[in-house]
Amino acid sequence: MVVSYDVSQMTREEDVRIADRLMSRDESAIGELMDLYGGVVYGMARRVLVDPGLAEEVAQDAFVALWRRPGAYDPLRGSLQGFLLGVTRNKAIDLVRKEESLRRTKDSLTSELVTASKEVTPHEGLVERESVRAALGELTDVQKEALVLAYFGGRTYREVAEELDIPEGTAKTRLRDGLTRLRQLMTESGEGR
Amino acid sequence: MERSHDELKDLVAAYVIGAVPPDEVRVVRAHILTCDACMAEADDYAAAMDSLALAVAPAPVPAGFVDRVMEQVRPVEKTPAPAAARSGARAWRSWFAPAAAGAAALVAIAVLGAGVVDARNDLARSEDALAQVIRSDEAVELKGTGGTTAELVPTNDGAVFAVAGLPEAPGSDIYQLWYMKMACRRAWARSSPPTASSSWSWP
Ligand SMILES: [Zn+2]
Repeated sequence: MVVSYDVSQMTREEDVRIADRLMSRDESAIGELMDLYGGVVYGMARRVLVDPGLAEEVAQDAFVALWRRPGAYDPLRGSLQGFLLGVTRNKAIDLVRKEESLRRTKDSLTSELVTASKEVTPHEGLVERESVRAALGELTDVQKEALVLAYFGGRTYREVAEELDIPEGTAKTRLRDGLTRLRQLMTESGEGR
Repeated sequence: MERSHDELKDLVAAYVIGAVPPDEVRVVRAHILTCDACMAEADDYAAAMDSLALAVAPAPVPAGFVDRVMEQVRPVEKTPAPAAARSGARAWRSWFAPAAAGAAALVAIAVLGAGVVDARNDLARSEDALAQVIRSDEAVELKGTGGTTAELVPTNDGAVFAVAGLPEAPGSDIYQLWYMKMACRRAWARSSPPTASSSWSWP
């Protein structure tokens, strides 16, 4: 089953080919993956972590980990890009959870997401990125803020509540409504394509 | 004391995004695993969350990035992946193998303790464990760390998983056995606290 907003069939077939090459220990596949997704993976690490050096380490780890355990990625479960981004986010969040000083501040987290820079490099993920950004633009500011703090900031809903000075119940609701709306919008935009 | 669906349903989104504090994670997860409504919602939230990742703008990688990765990539080629999952306080005792036709499923058994953010995130993180994916439709025998053995037998539309010699889970942790249909986007589980020798079957 391919979820409607998933990458195109062609990209998925490409993912399968790369996964097969990783399985057969073809190291050029990792090089190719870095050409394709190095920028977004590093971008994700930077999104979570204050320190560029640490972000670089985390991003490199994501590729090295995939090389060491290629079986961790299954093309049937999603795109290779999504997988790498998920791994990167998890690694980065683990770090900010252990050490609070590594966290980005609320302001730096929330200001960045909406400023969609025009990208010069044509990229596999460009269409998806633009449609996610468009969908995020449809959320209310408070929903976006809560989602960004939790997802990129590694905050728990209690920390979200505290930081935004709102009741915990409100923080839960914003996360829930934000994800629900995002899901609706992404499904609609996927069907429209 | 178990908390009800009404008390916990508002935490499903927070759980999926990893925003439930450690002291509440287990109770929320336990509820989701047993509540069809919350499970279905979690599935939707997870799809939405995946798309959040795609919103991130690429950043130019620092000079030497590719070379530093390739340096770490080459030596590993000669070292086979370790057969057993890494041990540790919350180590996975894990065996993964597809069951059913078309590599459609995956089984994992794990010790899950408090403080685990999201079992599915943990799956993605347990790279050592995932190394043991075996691409076969036949019954698979698996050896865990320290004398534990298990067998996975694919059936028509599911699998039977039998395990023997499981060490006791540390502290108040419990084992969870996950059976995942890989054709679906996400994985869902049946869990029960097993004894040292147990077997489960699906569906
Ligand atoms: Zn429920």
